Amino acid sequence: MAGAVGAARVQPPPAWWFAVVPAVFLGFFFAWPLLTVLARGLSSEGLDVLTSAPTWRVVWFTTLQAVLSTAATLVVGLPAAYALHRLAFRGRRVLLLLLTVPFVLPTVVVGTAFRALLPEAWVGTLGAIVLAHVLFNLAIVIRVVGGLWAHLDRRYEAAAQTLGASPWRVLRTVTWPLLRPAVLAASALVFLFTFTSFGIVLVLGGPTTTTLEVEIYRRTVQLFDLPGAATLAVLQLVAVLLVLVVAGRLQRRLAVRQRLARADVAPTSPRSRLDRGAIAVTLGLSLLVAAPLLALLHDSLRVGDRWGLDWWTALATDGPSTRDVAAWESVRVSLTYAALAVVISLAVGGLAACAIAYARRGSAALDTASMLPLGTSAVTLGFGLLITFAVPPFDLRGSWFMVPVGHALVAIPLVVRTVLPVLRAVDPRLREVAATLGSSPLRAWRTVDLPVLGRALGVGAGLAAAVSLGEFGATSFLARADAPTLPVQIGRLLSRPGEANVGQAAALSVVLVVLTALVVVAAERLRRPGQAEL
Amino acid sequence: MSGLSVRGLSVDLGGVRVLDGVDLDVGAHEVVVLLGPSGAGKSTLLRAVAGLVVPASGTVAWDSVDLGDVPPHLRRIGLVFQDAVLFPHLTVAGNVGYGLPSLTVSERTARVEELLALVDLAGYDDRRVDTLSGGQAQRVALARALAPRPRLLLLDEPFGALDRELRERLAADVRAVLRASDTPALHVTHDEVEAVRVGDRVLRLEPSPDGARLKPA
Repeated sequence: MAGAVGAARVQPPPAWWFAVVPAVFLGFFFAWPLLTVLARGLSSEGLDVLTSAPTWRVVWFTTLQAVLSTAATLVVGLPAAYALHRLAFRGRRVLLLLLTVPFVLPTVVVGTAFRALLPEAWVGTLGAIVLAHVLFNLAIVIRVVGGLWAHLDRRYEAAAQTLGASPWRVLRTVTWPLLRPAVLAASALVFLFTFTSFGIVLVLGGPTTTTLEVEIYRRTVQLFDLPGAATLAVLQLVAVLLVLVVAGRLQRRLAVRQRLARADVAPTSPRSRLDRGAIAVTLGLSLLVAAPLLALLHDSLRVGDRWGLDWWTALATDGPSTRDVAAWESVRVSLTYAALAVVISLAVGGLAACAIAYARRGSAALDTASMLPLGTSAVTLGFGLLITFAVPPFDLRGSWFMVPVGHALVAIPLVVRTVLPVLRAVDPRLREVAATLGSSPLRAWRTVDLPVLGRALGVGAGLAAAVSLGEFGATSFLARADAPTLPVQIGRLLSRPGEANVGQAAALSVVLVVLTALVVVAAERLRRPGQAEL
Repeated sequence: MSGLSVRGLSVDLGGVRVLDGVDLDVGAHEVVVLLGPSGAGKSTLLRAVAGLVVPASGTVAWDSVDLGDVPPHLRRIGLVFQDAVLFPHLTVAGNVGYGLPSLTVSERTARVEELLALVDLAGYDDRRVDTLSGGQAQRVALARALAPRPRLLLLDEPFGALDRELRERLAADVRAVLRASDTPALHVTHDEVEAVRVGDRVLRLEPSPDGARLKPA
């Protein structure tokens, strides 16, 4: 007898069938490196770092810029989320797309583009970092809060109005409390991303304006202070976990069970001064986002005081030393790694999603665990992989597959997020029908569940490819000198002086932006309305 | 002319004419029931009277004063929705007291208790709204709408989602409550029995392809 009396007899295949591969992969490439970092950081010489004043200055600055960035992103993001999801005005859809673009772009590109616009005196200031973070993370607030705002049942607001509440009071006493969980979720994400910010701070930061993530990188690559780097990585991991736990608690406390409109509520034409103000903010942000992108294009075509394709043709020319391959080569490298990362993350993430969906117990815990790689800093991850697989029998340094493995680790949570809701929506009665028609559990799964997975896996593939193309933190540790990815190559060019290097970096950035945009648009076309975002 | 008077009211929603030239009066002390099948534009009429939708043409006036430029929150016209729409983040008392921000705390508490007693829910002050039954939620919604002493109460199929027995009992309750507070009301329903039970006067809204019109029942 299978199962208790009365329990459904026809079940999907047991969860552990699907869990084996993800468990082994994540255990080997995620948990082990992380524990190695932990062990290394807790040694006595590593702990000395904790008592030095410069360390705490970095911690202080990391926290300060993250808090300011989060607050600033909210202040401008909330009006934009409102305008783009609730108000009808010309160009709304185009602006929504434009403001989402920076988020899927590689941080190095955003940082570079932004730097090109800034007066030289601003580079390395707190203000520049915060502004770049706002541009980069705006999409999170707009998508997460706007997504809920669009579905907010408008009758709550209408009810308040008929009870005599002015528009401002409605916003304060009804709309805000109902939106609060989404605002909190978005804030937590923005805080995590800015707290562990790497590419932007590397490009825009200065000696005193640096984050833990950049400091970990500097100690590893420039100072060869591995215990110190490991200690900082542990410090950062603890801080991230703390934020996740606190945010989770707050979110449960603030959660409001409310009715949501099933479809997007149709936007209305702007009426009040508040409405017009929100649109003005949105237009201002659009200019701010468009400017760096146009600046990149400009820099890639501007040679001295004339226009020309010199930097573009220079991409195809070999550098002075034999190890300096042509910049153009990095496009091929990036595309290859992206393809591999997509295959790995789809296989591992897809199987993990099945395991989570079919688990009869501990589904929620597995669900949370699958999000961990997203909360772990990419530099820590890359660093962990580097030091773990530096000793026999697993001396994998410089082996070609470490980069796609690193990329896949970052992409797996996104694949799980995309696939899981689709799997959970499969009507269990379909499996029962298959069983009554003589299908074994495995065949029922193959014929019922697998087909609906196709589209979700397509969306996941697009996200994984975008992540891989833009990933910089982990890659900067793992990439071989003779096979740099696009972001790594851009970073290299930028670290060298001279107009030619800046021009080539701009040209490569344009290539990267176009590639990423193509991948994201392709994935977006596969997405069904109502499916998970981000 | 005292009370509500609607003249030549037409409303377009998404380019479609939903109401076409509706005339309607509600006296200062009467309860008028509007009867019509679903999709006849009953809710739209109420939303236009409350000021929640802007009419294409026609006027809504109270005591001969045009309300066209008066925003909903200044009209002093209450609205009870079909499925309560209680604020999920507030308690029962928080919901009922929402329309009374200018009262002191003790005044507000007293008024909330008075209204909860009126709808037979005394002692429910601190309950979370998601623990209420459908009928209880609807009575809280009624108390909430009456609390700021509206000069007119609009009821949009307030018992539509409830079973028949409960619906009939509540219909009687509502009539008693409206009488007790001497509040005029415009009550929309598709249930003939409910219409007769609640209303002093019954009107019929007939759907037609180019916008609903009113006919006497």
